[in-house]
Amino acid sequence: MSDSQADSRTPEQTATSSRSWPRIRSGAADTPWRRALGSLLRNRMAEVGGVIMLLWCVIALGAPLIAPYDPQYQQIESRLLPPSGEHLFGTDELGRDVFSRVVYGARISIPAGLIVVMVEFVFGSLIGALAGYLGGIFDLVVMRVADVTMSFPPIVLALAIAAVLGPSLQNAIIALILVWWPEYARLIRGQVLSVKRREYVMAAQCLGVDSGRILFRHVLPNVVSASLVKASLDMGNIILFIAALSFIGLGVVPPTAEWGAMISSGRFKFYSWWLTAFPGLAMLSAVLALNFIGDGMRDALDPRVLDR
Amino acid sequence: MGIASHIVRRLLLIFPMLIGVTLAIFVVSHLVPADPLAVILDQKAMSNPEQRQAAIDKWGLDSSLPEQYLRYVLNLARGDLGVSFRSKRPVAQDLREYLPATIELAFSALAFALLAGLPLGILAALYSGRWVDHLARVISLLGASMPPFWSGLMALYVFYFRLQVLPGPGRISSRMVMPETTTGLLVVDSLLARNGAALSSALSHLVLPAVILGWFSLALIARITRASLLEVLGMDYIRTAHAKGLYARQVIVVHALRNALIPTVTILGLEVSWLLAGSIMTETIFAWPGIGKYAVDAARTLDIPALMGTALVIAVVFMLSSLLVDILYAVIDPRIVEV
Repeated sequence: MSDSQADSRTPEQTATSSRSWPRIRSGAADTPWRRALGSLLRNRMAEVGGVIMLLWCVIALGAPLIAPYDPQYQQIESRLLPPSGEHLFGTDELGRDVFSRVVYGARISIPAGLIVVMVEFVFGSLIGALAGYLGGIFDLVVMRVADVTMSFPPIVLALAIAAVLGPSLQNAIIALILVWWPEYARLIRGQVLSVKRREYVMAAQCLGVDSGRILFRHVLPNVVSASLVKASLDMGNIILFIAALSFIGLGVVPPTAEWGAMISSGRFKFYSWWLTAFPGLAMLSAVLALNFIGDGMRDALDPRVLDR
Repeated sequence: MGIASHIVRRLLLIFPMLIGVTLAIFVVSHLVPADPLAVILDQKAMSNPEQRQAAIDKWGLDSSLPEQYLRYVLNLARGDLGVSFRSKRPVAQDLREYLPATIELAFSALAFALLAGLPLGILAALYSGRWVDHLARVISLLGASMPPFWSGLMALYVFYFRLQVLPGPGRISSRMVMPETTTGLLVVDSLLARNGAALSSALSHLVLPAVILGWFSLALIARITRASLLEVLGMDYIRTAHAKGLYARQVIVVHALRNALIPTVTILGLEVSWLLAGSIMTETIFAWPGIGKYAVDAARTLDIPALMGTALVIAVVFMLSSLLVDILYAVIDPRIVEV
């Protein structure tokens, strides 16, 4: 076992293995994380979600190869054409191919959702872990800021921040990160508070291990699962929020192809139902798939399952 | 610690939270990368030196930020949320006018969510693993995954445009004579005015927005009812009730549901505030003249006083309903005050 691997174990685990007690045959491979992964892979719904999301990732990456037209290419003479062999999802009011725009839309919604979730997961978890571990004035300030942020419904605060910063995808992303990080901070803080009094953390403190090492090597790896579950469940929500801000006109600005903005430009054009139906179905399939994966991860990483 | 002191402690917490919320609004409105006067005055007023000076004096813009915040809070305490750029009227007056429409919509959505969610949750628990259970699961997954602005548009397309069984956007038919405003709630006002045609128009206009807005709450209510009823059904006292020879219906209605519905009842307070927040998108789609649409219109036109005023009102309602739920929990389950 390499040094880095040895470091990632808790002192308790190190002490146990160094006594060379007889090991249960399956014990070496059967870690809680492995069990969780196995459970996730066996979950049929999560599997379906995974396949759909994989498909969306392929579509996003291969958009230039998949889309038959340039998403911005306007052909006024063929505007508002219904779905046909030539234009699978029809054309919009400027004669742009809706299928190509839906395909390119995946390049905005999925990475934007991923960026927001990753930043708030890392930032929120870090702040929450520090607050829980250090306590004192830092904890007090961070938690009061979190309380105040969470006393607004997310859409209301995101709307206010995005409006004040000005309409752009970047500002919508900033607004959502500012609104969402406290949920992660509060979640991780609670977990850290319960873990930091455990024997293995105290043992590490007695051994003279410095605080940073204890926090990042021993505490965080043991509390991060709840945040991971939350992140997986949040990703779909974030995609919906970004689309909602774009729908209102505070996110992605035209002519960029984005699902929420596409639905907005097609609203109330009931004779051209394809303008709203297809971008919405694309979003629904992606968010549904992410919720399937999130549900699967929740089942797999549930602490009761991990402790089993 | 007794329940009374727990309630008092929670009530006292409101004040620091109110300071925090007003501070947050103050900070957000100062994020505008422009002249702070542009946040308070519209362009026409900006070019008028007298109006500029009046606004500077009123909001203390020539003083330090803490002083400005203090001035802002004092103005708030007098019910002054500023003047809307678009309507040129005090924001508080605008909100008073728009709030009843939102309340009417939110409560209709809640009524729909309860009427559909409770039976669905109960059936899903009683027939766990059967088709009703799967149906409940699909409904709640769709509720969590469907963007409301899209489902609203699709519902309008199907029921208004294609089938023509329900009316389009708006609160009441444009051909209808509006009943005299008493409460601001159209359904109630129509009833008070004994105006059957207006009542029927108002009710039919409520159907689609209430269903779209209430769908998410329906999913939550069904899920919580199902989980809690399943838990209660596995308890010893239910087995005892069965063993006593009671009818299954009696056991479920009299013994199980009474306890199983406690979590559902307690989340209703939170649901109302979520519905107020959710009204932002629903009202935009259905041209519903409530505070949600007012906020979105304000955000689109950078009408900062209107936007921040609405955000503040929604945050305060949100906070008060969480407080109410908290107190309700303490009354129903006194064990939590010992924590």
